[in-house]
Amino acid sequence: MPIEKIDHELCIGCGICQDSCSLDVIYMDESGKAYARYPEDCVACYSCEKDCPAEAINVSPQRGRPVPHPW
Amino acid sequence: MDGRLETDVLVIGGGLAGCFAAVGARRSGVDVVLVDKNYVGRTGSSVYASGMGLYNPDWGDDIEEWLEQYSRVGEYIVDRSWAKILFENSYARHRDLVDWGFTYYKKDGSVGTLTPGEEPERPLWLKSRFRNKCTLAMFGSKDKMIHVRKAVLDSGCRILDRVMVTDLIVEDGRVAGAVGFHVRTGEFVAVQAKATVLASGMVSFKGSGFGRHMGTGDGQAMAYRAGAEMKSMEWGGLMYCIKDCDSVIVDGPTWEEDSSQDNVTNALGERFLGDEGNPGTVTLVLWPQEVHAGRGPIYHEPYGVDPEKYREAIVEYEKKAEGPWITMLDRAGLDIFNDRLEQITAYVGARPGGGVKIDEECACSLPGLYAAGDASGCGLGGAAYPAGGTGMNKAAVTGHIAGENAVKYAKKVENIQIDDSVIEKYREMTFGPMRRKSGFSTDHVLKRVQQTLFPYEVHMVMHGRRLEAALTMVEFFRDHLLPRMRAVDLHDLRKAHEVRNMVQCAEMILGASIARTESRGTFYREDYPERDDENWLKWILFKKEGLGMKIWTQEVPEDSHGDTSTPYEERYQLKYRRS
Repeated sequence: MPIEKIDHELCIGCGICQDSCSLDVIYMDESGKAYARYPEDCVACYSCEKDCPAEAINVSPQRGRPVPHPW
Repeated sequence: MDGRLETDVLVIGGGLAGCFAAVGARRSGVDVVLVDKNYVGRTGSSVYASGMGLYNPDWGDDIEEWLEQYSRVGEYIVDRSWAKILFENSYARHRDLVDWGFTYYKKDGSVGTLTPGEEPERPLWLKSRFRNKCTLAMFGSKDKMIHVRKAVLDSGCRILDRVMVTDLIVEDGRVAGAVGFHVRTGEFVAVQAKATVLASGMVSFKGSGFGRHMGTGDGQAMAYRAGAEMKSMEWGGLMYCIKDCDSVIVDGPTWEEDSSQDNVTNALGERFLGDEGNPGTVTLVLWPQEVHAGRGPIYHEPYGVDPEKYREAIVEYEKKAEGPWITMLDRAGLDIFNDRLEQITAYVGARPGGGVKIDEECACSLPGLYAAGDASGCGLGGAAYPAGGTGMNKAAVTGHIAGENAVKYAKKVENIQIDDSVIEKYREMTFGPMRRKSGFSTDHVLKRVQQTLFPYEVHMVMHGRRLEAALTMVEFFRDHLLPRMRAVDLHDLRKAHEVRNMVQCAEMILGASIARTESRGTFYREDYPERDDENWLKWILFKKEGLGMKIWTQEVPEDSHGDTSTPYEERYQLKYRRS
């Protein structure tokens, strides 16, 4: 899955990654920390990882759902 | 009735175009509401853009030279009067961005704000004989759109984040607002507006490459369903990606002085782009032609540069602009400095000129409706991407114009009183997919759209019969799958509406592509492999009629034709490869 990890310990609960995700993948859990609720919809744009002030997110280049290639 | 509100101007889409429209409208003191399915400030292709086209005669820019390039690269389909509007307004919009806190790369290489009149660094971006006039002013920060959000809020505009607009409200032949739902709370939202601006971006079908993945053609599809005229949707966009890491768009170290390091070869190791060895967006059309001829796949040759020297520059660049692609390649275990990597061209939908038809006031054919940015279709829709920075330039300039003119319209009319029963009907349409207990998943329908559009033989090396076949499938999705598509939760309901819009856009793109019986720029048909100046210096327009599309053409004004007496080989510098 593209979002390999959102580190629960490192996450400061600021919610920026949730705002950064334009595919509605990231939500906040009951303890106020971020988690990938719909990881299969992630397209590995890296916005959450880049914007996270706590360096809590690690994105892998593999998409959750492969895209058909042109050839 | 929950979430029902009234405003003067409703703006749909919170990327650069929508924010400019909102601020532009607020300057006249009217009430403005801006909605986006994501969080304004972190949504839209603008977030991923690295620069904006910038023209200023005080810096020695020659408008005739620039117009010539737009016209020649766009292969004489670019409307000179629109290109002029774009250039002549770019400096003022650039200054708005500076006022909102944008930083730029300066001429001395540092990053910072610019004093009035100060010229930012404008590097030669993908220099080639196709595009040698650089227009790109490079942004200095990845957080640039957060400054834009602040400017929108400071202007007094109301922002509704995470509201997915699902349809325009059409009453008495006029667009009277829009309906949608909050993606997290499920609240139904109906905004009645005197004027509505569509600025919801491009359609990209969530394919390879990123930075366009949120653009699912929502505005184009809504406007089409509402009966608006559409323009120039046949021109497709291609991006180049590393095959095994397909979110990565490799531009290479081309912001440096030497773009020749990006070498692209076919399976035989031949530099099939000839002198155009670097993978510019114009020559991308030649890649699928090479594959079609049986000489694929296509490779990115290792950079012949010192990795450490470039790595440092790239890491620095990653912090500020588009994607962290060297990081992605590292994580995928790919070494672009030492290894040959297989590349693909990704189809990224209609861009940047096609969409909802607008006039020079950004007014659409339906009263009360305006459009801006990638969602709008104006005479800038060339047959190839004319210059780096055009997308942002168009977003800023058309956004501002749309906002100003939406206000003028809003001041002339009253809000239409809409009956509760009408709103109820829209609510049913919005939540329809969630009421179904069985049927096709949204993922299934999206996959079928991608499988239909993405193969190179559909929209890269085109043929009328294959386009017809693809359209047949898309019509089946439209008529059979969509009415049986089921959403299991609110997140899925958002996807359901995105998929519905993508199916609609696929139909428009294929229909317009079938109609254009010639090749031009990056639009290549093997059944009509030449430019046809006699019959096709025209734009394609269409609208919904019954279930299908009513298609017609409009002559490109003669002053935009270029010199038609120039011999074909000279007039069209991009040479197609035949198999």
